[in-house]
Amino acid sequence: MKKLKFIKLVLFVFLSFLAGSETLQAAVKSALLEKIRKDNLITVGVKTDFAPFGYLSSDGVIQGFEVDLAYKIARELGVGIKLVGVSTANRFQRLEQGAVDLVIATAADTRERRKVATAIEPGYFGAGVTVLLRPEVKANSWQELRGKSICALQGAYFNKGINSRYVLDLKTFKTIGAAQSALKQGGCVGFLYSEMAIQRYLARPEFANYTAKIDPALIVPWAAFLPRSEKGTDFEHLLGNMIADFHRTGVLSELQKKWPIANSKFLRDSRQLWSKTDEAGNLICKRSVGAEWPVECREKTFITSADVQGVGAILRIIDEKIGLDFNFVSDTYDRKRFLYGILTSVLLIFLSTLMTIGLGILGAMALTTKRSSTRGLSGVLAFCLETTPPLLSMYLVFFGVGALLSAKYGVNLSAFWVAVSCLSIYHGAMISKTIAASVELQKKDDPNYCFSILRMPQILETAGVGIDGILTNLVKASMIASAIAVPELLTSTLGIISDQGNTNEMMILLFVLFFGFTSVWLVIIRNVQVIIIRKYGNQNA
Amino acid sequence: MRDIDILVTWTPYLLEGLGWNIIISLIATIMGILLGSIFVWIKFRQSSISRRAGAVIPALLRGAPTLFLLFYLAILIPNEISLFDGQITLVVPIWLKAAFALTASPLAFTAWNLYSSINFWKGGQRGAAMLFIPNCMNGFMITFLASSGASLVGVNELVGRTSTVIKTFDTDYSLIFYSYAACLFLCTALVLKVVVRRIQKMIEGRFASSLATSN
Repeated sequence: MKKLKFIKLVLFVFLSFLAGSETLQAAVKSALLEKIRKDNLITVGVKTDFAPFGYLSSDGVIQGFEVDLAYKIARELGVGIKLVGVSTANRFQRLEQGAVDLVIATAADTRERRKVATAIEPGYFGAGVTVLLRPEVKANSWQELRGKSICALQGAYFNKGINSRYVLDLKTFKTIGAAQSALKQGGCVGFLYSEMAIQRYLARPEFANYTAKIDPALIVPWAAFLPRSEKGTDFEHLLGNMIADFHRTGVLSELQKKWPIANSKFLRDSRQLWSKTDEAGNLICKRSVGAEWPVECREKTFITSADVQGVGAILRIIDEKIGLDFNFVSDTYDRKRFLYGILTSVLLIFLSTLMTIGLGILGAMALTTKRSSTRGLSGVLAFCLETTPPLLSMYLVFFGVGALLSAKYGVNLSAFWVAVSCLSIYHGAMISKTIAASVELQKKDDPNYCFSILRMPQILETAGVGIDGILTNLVKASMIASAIAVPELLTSTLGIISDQGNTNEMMILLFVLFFGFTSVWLVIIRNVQVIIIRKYGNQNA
Repeated sequence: MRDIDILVTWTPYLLEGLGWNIIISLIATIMGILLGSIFVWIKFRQSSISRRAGAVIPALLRGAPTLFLLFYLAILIPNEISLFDGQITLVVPIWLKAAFALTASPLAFTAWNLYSSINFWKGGQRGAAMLFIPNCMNGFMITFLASSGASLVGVNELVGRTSTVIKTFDTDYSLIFYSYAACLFLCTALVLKVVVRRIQKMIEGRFASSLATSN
């Protein structure tokens, strides 16, 4: 039975791959739009208690960002408007009952809500979560908060997502008040909460000098909603086109400025996305009549296997059926940065290995020379180099020496070469000691034995295993380069996790790749050693 | 304020960080030896499946980069574990997660080396068997150096604290403070090396005859 199910799944995947067809349905005529045009009036549900999006002025007039947006939509439709106050609790009920035609009421666009109403894509606004930081904390990115104590609200939906992306030390409290008290008393360095709420807190005197400079994460779009029955109608598409146009022309950014709302990352990104053109100057995010928006313009959360084709469809099916999210492969940007990460890691490992072997041989020459002062000095140097953690030496060279060179001579060090050098020096010192120990062993049989490059094949017979181990460690240690922003595999993996939240899948992939790198590299190194020993071993013994 | 005064002022704070490096490495090494011993015990069992498991798991851990384990365990292990319907909450601090991650290397080392040491012991080569102890201490030094990576997941150890101090002042102090941190690592490694040498010499003296046989 299980086998049959599996065969069915494989067949489905295969056929959808072969077919590669996107179901195009012509949009059906909207009865609601017809009614609105006939009555010359649209009824829009808006909030009356959520400033500055929808609230009552002192003279009882409903106003705000969303109210202005509702007026603009009515104007575009060429009809009059009637505003109806709705609350968080009743907004979708009012829509389903037909009391309002359209809801624009701070409603986040989620899968659950799409089951009860028709969301208009794209969203007109979007909000995520950010961190309210104590005055003395100078962090500008999530990465700078790794491992730091952050207060949060128990049960908040975003706690897990944020923690798995940015490795924070979350201290959860039962109420917002308790979390804020802990923040004020220094029990944590920041408070993780909704971006919009934090913007309001910043205006309060009790949070004077506090900051919230970190770009919001887990951004959820806010959408206008039509009744469920309007799904796939020309009205849904008309409103979608209108909002996309509002992004392109900056109408929404203007509204953001009018109702002083903090600079929204969502609006910034959306304006860029919806205005993007190809080389011929045509808009990339445009749709033909009745069709959905192109996949690259849509919210990734709502894309299903039916919306994409080819490899993308296969990956979506795997995600939907098995729950393994490798969809990044079908995303051009993520795929490129992952492949670039692999390439950078391979190059980093290759160059570091060559340099390590070179430095190891040079170091061994110095460690085994007949001149005792050179031997002593190089022994001390090798010890210093092998006891300085590569991470620390990278910081020392990149930030310490780099800052000095930049200030005095205007020279900027390359992070990649700093990483190659530091990894090579650390492992090179180890290899030089291993070779020197092997030379000492040979001296027991022949007191006049001395090190020379021509004797390497013979030395490899005793030092080979040790060198293998050191070079294996070098492959594993190459990940440290991510600390100075070398775009290698760990850096790209963490970047994708931050955007997609597929922690387990990416981490397992990373492990498999590194295990593969180490194994392949070890096989190559061992084979090279065997060839050297066989070919030159007897000639130079 | 002179550079030397700044260094002196911040030394206690940095030494505390170094203390964390030592604590994390100690916990990791002890746990690694204990868990590695379990794998060795499994290897001595009759069943071929358990023998294979005793060899494969340490081999996998040996191939896992430390930084990968640090990040993965920091994400995978929850910060708080609720027991008995939330009546008891166990807090898992980030430094403990880092110690778990650093356990992999001493675990793999023990699983590989203790097996041959026991065989040496059984064969009467007690000196060769006892060399497991200084080798373990060398392993501790490797774990100690690797513990600097814990700063990347937010552990407030020496490297993390050094970066914090530099941020407090100015990047102009990067060279001085990072060099100072390197010196602290070097001094600790030197002490460890002396201890390892002494233990090694003690074992060589005590088991001189058996070491000669094994050579």
